[in-house]
Amino acid sequence: MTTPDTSAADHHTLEDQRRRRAATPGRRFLRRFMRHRLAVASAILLIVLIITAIAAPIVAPHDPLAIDARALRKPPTPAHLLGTDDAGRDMLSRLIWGAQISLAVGLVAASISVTIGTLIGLASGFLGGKVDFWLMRLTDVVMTIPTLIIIISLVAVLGPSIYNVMLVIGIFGWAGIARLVRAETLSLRERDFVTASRCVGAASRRIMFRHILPNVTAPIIVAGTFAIAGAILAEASLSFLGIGVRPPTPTWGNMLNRAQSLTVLESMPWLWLPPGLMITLVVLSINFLGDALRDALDPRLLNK
Amino acid sequence: MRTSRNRPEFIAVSLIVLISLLLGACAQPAPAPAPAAPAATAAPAATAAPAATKAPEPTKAPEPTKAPATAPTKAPEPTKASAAAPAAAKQMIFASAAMPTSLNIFNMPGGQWMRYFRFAFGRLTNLDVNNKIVPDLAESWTISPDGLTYTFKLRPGVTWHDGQPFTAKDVVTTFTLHCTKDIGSNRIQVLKNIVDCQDYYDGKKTEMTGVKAIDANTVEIKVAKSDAVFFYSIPDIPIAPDHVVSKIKPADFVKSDFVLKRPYPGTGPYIIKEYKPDDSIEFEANPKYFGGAPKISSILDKKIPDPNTRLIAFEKGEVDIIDGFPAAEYDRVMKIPGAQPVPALGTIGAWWINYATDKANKDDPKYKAMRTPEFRQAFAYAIDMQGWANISSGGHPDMVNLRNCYWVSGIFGVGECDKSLNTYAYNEAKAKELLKKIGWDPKWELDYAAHTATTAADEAVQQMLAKVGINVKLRGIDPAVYIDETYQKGNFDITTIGLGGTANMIDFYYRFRCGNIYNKDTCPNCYNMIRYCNPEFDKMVTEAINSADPKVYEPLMAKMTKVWNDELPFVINSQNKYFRMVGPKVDAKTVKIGLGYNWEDIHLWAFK
Amino acid sequence: MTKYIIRRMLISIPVLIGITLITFMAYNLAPGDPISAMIDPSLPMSGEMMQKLRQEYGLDQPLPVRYLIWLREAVKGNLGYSFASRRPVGQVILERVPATIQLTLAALLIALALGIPLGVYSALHQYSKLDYVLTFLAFFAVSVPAFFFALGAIYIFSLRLDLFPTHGMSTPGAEYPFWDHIYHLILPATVLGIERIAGFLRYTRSSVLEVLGQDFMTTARAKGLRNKTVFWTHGFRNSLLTLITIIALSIPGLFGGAFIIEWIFAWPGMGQLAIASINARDYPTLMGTALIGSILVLISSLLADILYAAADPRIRYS
Repeated sequence: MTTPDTSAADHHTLEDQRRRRAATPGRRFLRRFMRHRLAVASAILLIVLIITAIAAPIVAPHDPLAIDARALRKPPTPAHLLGTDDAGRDMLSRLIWGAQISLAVGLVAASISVTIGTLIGLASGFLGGKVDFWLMRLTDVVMTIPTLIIIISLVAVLGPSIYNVMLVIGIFGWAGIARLVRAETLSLRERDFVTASRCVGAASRRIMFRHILPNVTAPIIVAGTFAIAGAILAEASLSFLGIGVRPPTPTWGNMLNRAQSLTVLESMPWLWLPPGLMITLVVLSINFLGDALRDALDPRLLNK
Repeated sequence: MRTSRNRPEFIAVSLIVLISLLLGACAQPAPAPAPAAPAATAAPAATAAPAATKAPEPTKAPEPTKAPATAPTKAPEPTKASAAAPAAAKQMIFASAAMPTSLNIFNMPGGQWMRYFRFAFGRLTNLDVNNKIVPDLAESWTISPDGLTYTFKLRPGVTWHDGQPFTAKDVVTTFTLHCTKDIGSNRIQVLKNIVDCQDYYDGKKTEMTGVKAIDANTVEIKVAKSDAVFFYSIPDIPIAPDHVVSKIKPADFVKSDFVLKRPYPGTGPYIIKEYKPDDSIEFEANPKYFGGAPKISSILDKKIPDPNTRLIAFEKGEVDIIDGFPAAEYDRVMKIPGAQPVPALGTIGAWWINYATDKANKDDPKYKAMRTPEFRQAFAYAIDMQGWANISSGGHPDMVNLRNCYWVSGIFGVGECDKSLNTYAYNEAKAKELLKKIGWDPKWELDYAAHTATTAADEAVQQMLAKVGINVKLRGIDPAVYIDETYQKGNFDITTIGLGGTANMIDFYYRFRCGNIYNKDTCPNCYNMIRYCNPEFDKMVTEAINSADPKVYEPLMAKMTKVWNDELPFVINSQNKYFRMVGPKVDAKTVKIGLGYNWEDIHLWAFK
Repeated sequence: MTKYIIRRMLISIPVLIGITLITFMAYNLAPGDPISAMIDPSLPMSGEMMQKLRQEYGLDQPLPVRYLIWLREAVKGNLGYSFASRRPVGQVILERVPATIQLTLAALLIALALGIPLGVYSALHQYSKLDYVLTFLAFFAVSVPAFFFALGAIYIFSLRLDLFPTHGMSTPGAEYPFWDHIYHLILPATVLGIERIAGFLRYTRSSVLEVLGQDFMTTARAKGLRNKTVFWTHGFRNSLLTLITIIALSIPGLFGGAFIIEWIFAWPGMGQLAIASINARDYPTLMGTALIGSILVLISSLLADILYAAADPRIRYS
């Protein structure tokens, strides 16, 4: 029996080992993620924004709905840091509350898309056969339909409301996710642990949800991130056109609606630049984040 | 090495470029029309031929004068053909938001498109800016003492644009066709008062004795009932050419060239040269016009639907007159060098408060309170009209003509409010006091429904009402179901929509008789959407409408107006004011498009 | 190849049915009476005629029957009458189609003309500063909302610099209508194309990188051919094939984006009509636009697929 060798070399090895710490997947992910500096900055920005949005009632200096009939379209002043809109409402407060609505719509719509897409992808990939065929045809339809056109038509018809917007954006955004999940499921289906489960007699549903789903989470998270970005853009477009969320509820999209007037566009930049820049910033951050997540979570790059 | 291998791709790309360029070339807009030949200048005519009334647009109430009895005879001054204008004649270009898709002389929706029929066609009489009936194709007329026979003496020597003489037969044919079912006239409601018209319409008679040509220059119209409204609808009936129109079968009329291609000939100062449905219409001057040859030889009105594009076309001088601009562009527009803004008045807006006399829960305390004059007055007092005007015009209250009175020589008039009436100036304290008096409960919620969608102005109103304790919930009603929701079902507590759609004030008041509620099957022409019912008012208005004598109906009108000024069945907010813009090339003094005018005397318009 | 094309067309059928189903459903969800759209506004309407129309369009029938009747009418070209302009919807939309196709094609061309060369350059000079800048710009281009970008473009290039017209398709009374037309086309087409540039750029970049690393490239270089020659004649052709697929995939997005761009620039195409119909609550026109727009996208995708089949020797000779 050998006693632990406490020679200098071994000691060095042990210490090294302790210093390197257990390279768990979580820690590996974090390390790779940190390498994308832009993504880190984006993440911080988004967290700040989300906190501000949640704390809107506290952070916003004025009531975003309060109309001041005498102070229409005033440029920025100390009282109104970003000026007022064409009903005399404070732009900064509307911007902050708008963050809440725009982000919320994005999140909810993306969640709907992800849920539908995951379910369809799992079922399609795992069950195969006829189910796969018809679900994939359905996915084809949704993928080929020019979604913006149909979304515009449906929301216009159903009536502009925040719920309709979330719903319609959500139910047209799942095609890509479904395809992704299906591909992953197909490859996972042949793995040993799945075969083992089947041998033991586990039901299909159980296998799908308890075994396959956890392994598909990585690409779903990435796809979900991009879905949030897409949903935010979609809601902004709809609100800009006047068929998304309607005033007085502020969203970044409908604040930009005013810019269709030449006068506003040319001489009142405080009415349209802030919301537009915010949308760009948020979506950009989410895109960087998603890109970094994809790199960090990609199993193929495990050994880099 | 690149050439041979990459040729297929290169060819493909080139083809695509070529195709798109070709498509671009094919979708060219029509080239600008060539300038017309120089026109002869003529002496200005002395006859006034101002605004014709438009059906949906409210018109002015009868002026307290003796107008109906006899008409002043005015002969036109003989046109003097002077030396031909030296410079090449210019074309005046208008840009409109829309263009009619057909020009049906028997079924022209009112509003701006009646102007095309004014340019090209004459009518028996016209309505001038002071609401007086003035001669046009009829140079004089008499009305029998019992008010049942109108005799018009036509102006001699008038010819159609194609040279045919204008006679009484044209008038007879026009009125007869209006009373023909297959033509689908939209004036039939007014004209069915003519003797035999209804029977002729229903096919029960084959001839209409109500309109007769006494001789080539005299027409006699007999009505069944004395009716003040009838005479004021005559300016709305352009006279069609018998020698063209009687050759078309009534059932085929709507598809005929006269409607879809070119209504020709007419008797007006301009001849319709080319009409492209939903796109543009072009006129050329009629040198033989009885009021004098027009000064401008050619007019083009084209459709530019986008308001920004229209504005920019105007800024660049590509267009001479635009009929209004979005309120948001006010600052920019007023700074355009050389542009001359001409104010014009449009529809009147109001808040209609439901009496809910036919609702199942009409005896709820809320509705009982809503029916009291105190509530309505409180409503009026609670609204800061200046602030409302500021918001609804986007910061340019100059664009809103606040009207909160009911009598200006009529509800639809131009001018000052009757000083003896209450204007309910903004007074929060008074509003609160009145509400307290009737025991208004701030927990009651009112359904405030706007036509199409609610605006920032509506939100402002909501906040103003909240300050005095009236709790209002906003809702927008889609236009497709608006009539059903409000008129038919009465599903609203307050709604905002403009007034309009009647010939004059008596007609308007007549709508609000008890029980005159819209029903799409049984009473499609009933318009008492607020379910108003006041038996006294009913008696007064029925008496007024059955009399052709101003000495009878005018005092009644004054009394009815006082009643409404106290009761406030609806609260008028503004008379839509907008600015028509006239470009620097045009002599703005000659264009009659300002307050009270509506593209009249087109033969007198001129460039600088 | 014929088999491939036929198979692709067959797959398009369920898509077509899906589109018609969605459009029909949406149309019935619209407020108001669906019959009111089918009435020819120039004809005087009476109670009995309304009844007859209700029967003809099956308003008293169950939903599936109504769908078939509607489909039958749509195939005949009868999509109802526009509330706003009172003309047949089909006619109104068809007038607008060329303008939209011009805009979309021009945008596609611009995106290709800029995206591919930039992507190639980016790949050939990987990790250079320009590469990073372009990648960042690509991210930016997909993050900016299209309408914001359009507004900014109008602000900078039309209002401030006065380089391009702000709206419309033509200037009334222009001297050279063709060039005036192109002049009006540039800004909207570029704005519409910008988002696609990002996609094409990144795709081209990664595709070229992939190709560059492949064995046959090394072989060609070993044979002594110049890098550039090798790249263009051997490598690029392979990228081209999948490029066609990428183009095909971007068509739906392009059409959808065109709707918004047309509205902002008042470009009189289908998209501008659709948005104007929304504002005017003109549901028949809106539905017609959705239907025809979707069908156009379907057709273009099909064409792209056929082009792909023609270009890919593996499919051509199978």
